[in-house]
Amino acid sequence: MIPVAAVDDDRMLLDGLRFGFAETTDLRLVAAVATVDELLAGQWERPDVVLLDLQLRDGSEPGHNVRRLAGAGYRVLMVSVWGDTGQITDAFAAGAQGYVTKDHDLSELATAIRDVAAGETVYTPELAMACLRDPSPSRPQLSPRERAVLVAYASGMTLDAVARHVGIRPETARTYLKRVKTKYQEAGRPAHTKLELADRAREDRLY
Amino acid sequence: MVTLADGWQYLARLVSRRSWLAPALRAKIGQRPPAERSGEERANRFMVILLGLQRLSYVIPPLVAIGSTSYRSPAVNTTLVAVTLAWNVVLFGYARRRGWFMPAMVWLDVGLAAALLLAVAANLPASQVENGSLNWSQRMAQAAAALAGAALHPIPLAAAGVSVILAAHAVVTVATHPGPGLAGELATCLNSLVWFAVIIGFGLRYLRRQGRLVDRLNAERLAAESRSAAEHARHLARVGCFRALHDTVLATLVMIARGGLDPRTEQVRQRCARDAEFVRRLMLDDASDQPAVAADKLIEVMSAAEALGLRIHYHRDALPADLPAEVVDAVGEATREALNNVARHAGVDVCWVTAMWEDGVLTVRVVDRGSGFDPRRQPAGFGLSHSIDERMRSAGGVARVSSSPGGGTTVELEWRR
Repeated sequence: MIPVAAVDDDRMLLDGLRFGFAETTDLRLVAAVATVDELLAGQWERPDVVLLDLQLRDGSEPGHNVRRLAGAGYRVLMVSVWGDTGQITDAFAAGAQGYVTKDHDLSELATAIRDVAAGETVYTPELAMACLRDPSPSRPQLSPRERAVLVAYASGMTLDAVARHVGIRPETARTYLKRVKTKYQEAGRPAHTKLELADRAREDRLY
Repeated sequence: MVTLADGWQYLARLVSRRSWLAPALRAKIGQRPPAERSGEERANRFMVILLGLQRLSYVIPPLVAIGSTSYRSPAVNTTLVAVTLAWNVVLFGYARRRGWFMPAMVWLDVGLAAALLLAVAANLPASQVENGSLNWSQRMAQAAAALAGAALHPIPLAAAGVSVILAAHAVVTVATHPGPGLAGELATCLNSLVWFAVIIGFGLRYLRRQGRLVDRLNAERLAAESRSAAEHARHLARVGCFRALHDTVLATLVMIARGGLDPRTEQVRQRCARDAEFVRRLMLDDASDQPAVAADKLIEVMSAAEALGLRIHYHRDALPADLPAEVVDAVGEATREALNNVARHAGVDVCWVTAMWEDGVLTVRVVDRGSGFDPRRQPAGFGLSHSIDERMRSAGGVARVSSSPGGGTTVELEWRR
């Protein structure tokens, strides 16, 4: 049984999740709240996966939300109807394990949840495209092979199809994807204050 | 810098003016077609023709009088006429081609006019120096003064040029009219020289100012027109969007709200998914810079495929608005073919279409996760159909397919600028 918590202010979605999970044999919704504060403050059964909506109405920043949840030890799977590229990459760099759009079948969402619960990163075409088109100046440098794998993923191919298209083995493709995630997480070191930014810049030997 | 190559090009152009090569040659030389010239350029070209006609009229009398024995040496006179003629062909040839005179050439013209004044006067008996039909250098001097007044900037330089001619003229007059009446003679000759320069100079500057004014007004009018055209287009697009939203999303939502549609049935869910994709694309269009013809073509092609029941996940980068029409067409039609293949052979009803633009390379990929095929076997009707390959190649692009049984198919269309 995989306990799942959902942070989303869309009541209809939460209801839909409850019904949808009831039709599966291994997923159980243990908490359905509208803000991260509620989740962290409440006494819920500890979820294996937290579904977090990218855009919450309380105006909180996605990256900040993910950092708080990841800091508390949760595995976070981002969901949304519509994603701004910058927000997606911020969330990814803050430690999210994947990004799924809400218009997919519930079965696909369930698969993604199971993968995240197993400790894997879920790459969807939307996440791959966001990594490729990351507008932030502090984005990580990707190698040509990593870019090629991301491009193939962003075009909608499965992992096996990506490997076949790029001309490598599926395990190698998986390795490249892991590397991209590591680079993003390194790039996502928190730099909230000006002093911290200065530290980061000095670390990167920019001056 | 006038080079020998320029001279040859000019002659070639003279020869082929009426031939079918003329436009190509003109383009090679860098002349802009009449419609594109600014008002100032047009004023200049008009003045070139005016001054050219003036020179032509002054060159005809000496040609007529070419063998006249009134000259001390008819051979020298003929040589002078020939040199003058050749020089004017070069001077005006350059001006016709480039649109205006080169200052260095104008100074040369001034010097030549002054030298001619002295040479032709020396070649005539003193009594005939004032004879306009024999002393053709005086008219030439007027023409040179006019040119100096028009082409030399700023005004002090123009005055200097005219003064050179004045000086030569004065020398001749003094040499051939010693005695009383000299002052009067001088005044008369110099007067016409100066006034020619002044009138032509003033006339040209006025014309140019008018030309600039017309250009500015035209530019403002064009800007206003294109702003209102853009406004109108946006208005139409908005109205079109609203109509489409009304027909699709609004209709679906209203019916669900009324309870007339059960959102749990597969059909209704698919309808909702289609409507959601439509709104997503609207937002995508809104978020990117300018709508590109390429993007519209892709939307058109995808809508046709969706009408066949295909569900398409679509993403595109901002595409350049200036892709060649045949490339847009080739890529669009090849995409249509690929989508048809998915609908017919893949055994799934979902696929992905992505359009990327990076470093001058356009890549459109059509990906499905369906039954795929073995690319080595390529049965007829399957695989990279001839028309996809042919279309892309004829547009200067390339098409690739990768597939494996049970592993889906990817069709990749690539074009490099």
